[in-house]
Amino acid sequence: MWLNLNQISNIPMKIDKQKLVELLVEKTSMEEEEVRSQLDQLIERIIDAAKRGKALEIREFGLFYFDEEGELKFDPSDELSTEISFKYAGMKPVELKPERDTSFPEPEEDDDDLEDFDFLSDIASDDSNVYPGTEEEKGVFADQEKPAEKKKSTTLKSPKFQAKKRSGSIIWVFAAIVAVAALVLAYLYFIGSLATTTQQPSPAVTQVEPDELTSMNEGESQPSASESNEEQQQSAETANQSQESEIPEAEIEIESSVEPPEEIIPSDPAEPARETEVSNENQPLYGLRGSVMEEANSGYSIVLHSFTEEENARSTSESLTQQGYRSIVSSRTVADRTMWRVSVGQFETLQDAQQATRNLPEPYNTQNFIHRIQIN
Amino acid sequence: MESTFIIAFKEVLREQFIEQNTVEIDGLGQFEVKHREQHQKKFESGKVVLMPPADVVEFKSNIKHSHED
Repeated sequence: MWLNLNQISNIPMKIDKQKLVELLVEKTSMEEEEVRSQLDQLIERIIDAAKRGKALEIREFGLFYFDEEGELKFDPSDELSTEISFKYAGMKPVELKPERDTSFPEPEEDDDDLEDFDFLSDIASDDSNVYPGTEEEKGVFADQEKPAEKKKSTTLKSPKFQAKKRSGSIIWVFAAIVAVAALVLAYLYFIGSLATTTQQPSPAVTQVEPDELTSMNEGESQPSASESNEEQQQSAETANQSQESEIPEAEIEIESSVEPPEEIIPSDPAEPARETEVSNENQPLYGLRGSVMEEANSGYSIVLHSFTEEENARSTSESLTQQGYRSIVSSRTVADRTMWRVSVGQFETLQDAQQATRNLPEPYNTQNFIHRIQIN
Repeated sequence: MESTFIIAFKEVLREQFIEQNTVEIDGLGQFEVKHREQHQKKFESGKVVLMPPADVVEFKSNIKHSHED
């Protein structure tokens, strides 16, 4: 009863141990006594491991440990953090640049975490009409765009000596560009003369972009942009990993996982084109393309659109399916509003899903977020 | 400990966190979801970054352990 009341009123509630046991009984169909015993065992195991100076990890949930001051701490896993903050997932930090920084990059900048923000702020200032969404779906990214536009107009102060250094460095940068251009021209001339003398046909240039990447978006995506996106995600992943490594001498005990590994066929995001060629019967359990596999619905998916109208979500999903994507429609209630999400792909882990976002065309490769699949 | 219990434990807590509910487990601690507003972060280089808002789970526990034991 309390759960129904909560759903109606949407007021945060406090769940005590008794309520938690009731929920677990409902979820597991186990006897209450057994659930209570299992819960006590789990608590005991967490405390025991922590007392022995170890950390106990519950996979895809988090890590329990005692910190240096002897206090019991919990670090949520990336998966849990993403799901809790799903309303804001996909929103990245935006650099509010001083006006003079727009001409060229600062060579002495060494903040690794921030090096890709130019790209991100450009996206934030773009109109969201670049992808085939509708006005209502702007709601998802509206929070992301408005502050960026607002803050970009503000002028930021920085030390004067930087301006002087910059004007000096302009000359050097210009000279370097001229020198490089001269070298490139000389090289091209040399190659050209070599080709004509040998009479050999020049090798065909490898197409970096797979055909299907352009099918979702009318504008062609630029390889350089996708490359910078890869770097972005790698740096983000590195940041996440470094957070975990802060725990000293943590020997991690891993609780039992959800599925036995032999049932899992890992997706291969590097070869999305091949997946489309595989028939439904033989297609991998997880992947970006193909047909939706019911067995893979315990995994993760990449949300590309969010609608207030189910009909719009269904038609968008249909379109994505026609383009060869595994497309899923699901609903979530956020602040009394039901949002219909359209996601693509089925992935075993959050990391696999993050990796697969690189194979999406612009702007989806940056304007997306990952959620756990929930079929209504 | 049964794996079905662990899976259910994770799912139930995750659902409660998404509903913004606080979960208090006697003998362990209290999980609470807090909203972190978007904020500006300033760096010595003069760079200013707008950090996005986020919902984060916070854990508080009265359980203490002396490392000298």
